[in-house]
Order: sequence, then C-alpha cells, then structure tokens
Amino acid sequence: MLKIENLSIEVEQKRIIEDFSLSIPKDEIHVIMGPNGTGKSTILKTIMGHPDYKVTSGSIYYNNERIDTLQANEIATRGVFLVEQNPTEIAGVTNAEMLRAALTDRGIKESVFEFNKRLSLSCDRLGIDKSFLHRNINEFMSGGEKKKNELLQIDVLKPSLILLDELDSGLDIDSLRTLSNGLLEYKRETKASILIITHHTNILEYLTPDKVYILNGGRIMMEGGMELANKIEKTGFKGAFSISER
Amino acid sequence: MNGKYENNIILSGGVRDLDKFHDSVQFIVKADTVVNAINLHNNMSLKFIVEKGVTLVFNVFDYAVSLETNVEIEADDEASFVMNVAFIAETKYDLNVETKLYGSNINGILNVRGINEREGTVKVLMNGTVAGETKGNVLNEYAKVLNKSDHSNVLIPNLIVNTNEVEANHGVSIGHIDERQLFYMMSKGLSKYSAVKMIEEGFLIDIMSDDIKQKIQNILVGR
Repeated sequence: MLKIENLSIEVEQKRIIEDFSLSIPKDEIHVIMGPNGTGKSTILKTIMGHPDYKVTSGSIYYNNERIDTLQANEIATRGVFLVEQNPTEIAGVTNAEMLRAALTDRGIKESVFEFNKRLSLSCDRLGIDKSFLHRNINEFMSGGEKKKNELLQIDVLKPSLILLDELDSGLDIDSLRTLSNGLLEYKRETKASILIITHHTNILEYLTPDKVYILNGGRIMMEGGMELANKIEKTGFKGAFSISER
Repeated sequence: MNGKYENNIILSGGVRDLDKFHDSVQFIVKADTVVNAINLHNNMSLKFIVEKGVTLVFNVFDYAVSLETNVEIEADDEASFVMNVAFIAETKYDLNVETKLYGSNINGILNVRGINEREGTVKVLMNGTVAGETKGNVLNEYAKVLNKSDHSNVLIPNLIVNTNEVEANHGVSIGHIDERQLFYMMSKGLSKYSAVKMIEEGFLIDIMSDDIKQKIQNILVGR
C-alpha cells in the first residue's frame, strides 16, 4: 500500500532524512518513534507533499503509484490524510464549507441535502456536536477539539492511509482514549492503514502497532514489534541505542 | 443640517442597508443600529453621529474597481461603534476614516481587511482622535491587507490622543497568503485554486456580522 524506498529529504538545503525505507500494508498500524529533532515529522510532511520538504533521492509509492512528485491535494485525493500535531486555524472558513469543497474537488457532487446528511451521520457516529460543523476550522478550539475535528474530517473524507503526527500532544488521557477508539473503529470499518509518529508510548496502549521503527539522526536504527516500544519505555532512547551499538 | 452633507438621516435602531441612500449623508444614530453597505459608490462621504449610550455597527464590503470613500464617526459618552471594512481592490481603493471620541467611556473599533488583487493600489488612512478631558475611552484601529500584486499599499493608523485616561491601540500588516493554511487546505484535498479562494474569502468575511456574511458570500461566488 505505502512503500517508501531509500528516501532522503532536505529542508532548506539541510539533509534531515537519509536512506529511509518503509512499507505499510493495508489494515496495519506502524509507528515511528524517536527523540525530538530526529526527522519524524519531516517524513509525514514529505509523504503529504509539503512543498518545503525536498526529496533528493528515493521514492514514495502509494497503491503502486509514485506520489512524491505530486502536490498535497493530489496525494490527499488518492486517500492519504495527515493529522498535524497542531492543526492550523483558518479564520472565516467553517468545517462544513471546507469539507464541501474537499468533496467537490474529489469529484463527489452531491446536493446540499445529501451533504448535510453525510455530515450529520458522521457527527452522530463520532458523538460530535453538530455545531462543530459551523465553527471556523480549528479556531478557538482546545487541543482535544482540534483533534476531534480532524477525526470528523477523516470520517467524511474516507482516507485509506492516516498519518498521525504526535496525536497525543495536548490531549488528556480521556480525549486520547476517545480519539483512539474512534480511529480504531474507522480502521475496522475501512481497513485503513495508520502511520503514527510519537516519542511516547501512551498512544500505543490504544493503537497497538504491527511494527515499530526507531529513528535517530535521520536513519532507522532499530525495528520490531510492540516489544521494542515497551523496551524504549523502560530504557529510553539513549539506553536503547547504546544496547543496540554493543 | 451640516452643509457638507446632502442629507440628514436619523437611524433609530434595527438593521439598515446603506445602498438605499445618497452619496453624501450624515446619519444621527439615536438607537442601536447595524448598517450594512455593499459596494459603496465612488466619492461617497458619510458621517455618523453616535449619540450617548448608543451602539453603531457599520459593515462595509467593497469589490472595487476604483473607489474613494470618506467616513466620519463621532461618538458621545458611553457610545460604541464598530466599523468593519472588507474589500477587494481591482485597481484603486482609497479609504479615509476619521473617528472622533468627544465623550467618555466610548468603545470604538475600526477593523479593515483587504485583498490587493492584480494591479490594485490601496490606501487606507485611519485618523482617530480622543478629545481632551475625557476618560475611560477605548479606541482600536487595525488594518490587514493580503497583497497579490507588486503594486503599492499604504496603511496609516493615526491616533491623536489628548487625554491621559485612554486605551488606544493600532496595528497594520501587509502580507501574502499564509503558507501553513494553504498546505492545510490542500492536504485535505482542495485544489490550490479552491484553497486560496477559501482562505482569502474567509480572511475577508471573518470580521463581518452574520447578517451580511451570506450576502458577501453570494457576491464572492462569482469571483
């Protein structure tokens, strides 16, 4: 489904990621862990086609189509969805307006009645108040509300690959549990894949990964299953790297 | 009758549309009133006298080919006024707003947002005066322009304060579309065209009252 081959990434002519490879099959959860500043978010933004992140070598394929040459909207319409650590606020544009435009640009043309029904069903399914739809995008929202808003967008836009950048950042434990359950429910229904970026294991208590990668200095240092994440929790990243080097 | 103005009109509350009136008008605002104006005429001169304890909200939206407008607002004790201006300048947009706070405990806000499109030249001059021997007044002047051309933008927020007991703020900015917002919208699947249009239009209508937002959106559909 998602296949990254020997990827190197530069930002402002500085090499951030070196020779990075990863493959995520359908219906699996993979996680990239690593200390701050190792390039974890860079990988997600590059997959999503952020113009500031330059692929200098290697390639990214999604459903056998090369996507590292595409723009963000083209990647999104192929089924990729990025939940940023701190979703951007947009004044004067409501969630409903943005979602309607996003569906239209995907070639989904439906009447106002059909569109409202779609949104209403998503709100009901996720237990989200319908007033959310008419609020400006992420404006005056708490960290938890912003993430809930992203979950609503996922439910409406139906991506097949979800990229989560530090989902637990700014969330209390109850909000994290609620959001994680919502994502798991979505994954069960759609068989979507999830790629998680985190430096804590909190989120992995709810979204159990099929594969764990440890990133340091822009390279994958270790990979394994949930046991690797548990080891990191006990030893910390420095401890894990020193054990690995020995 | 003020000789400078062709007409004197009393506003006694409710929501009024300005386009019914003449080009040179003095309004006496005697009760809380919302005045909405879409596409002002060129060389229009308007004056609002906001009486004691009364609130005026004046919303202006201009999709201007070439426009020069002068607005004066005078406020008495305990009055409030909010003037929200949103515009898209195709060629020339020239707005001159004079505010005068003659009494005490007045709350005044000028909020101007514009897009300088194609070959527009923008000039926004805000002159706010707080009279001497007054107290408890608040006056804010803000203007932001998104620049889409290399043409000139001049935003001047003047405050002339003749008393010590006042809270007065002003700020202006001229910039381009926010790249973080653009990436966010495109990452949801909106084309660059749709994303830019929504961000720009959101930037303009965000400051407007709800009762005029829909009218503005209807105009912008054909943009």
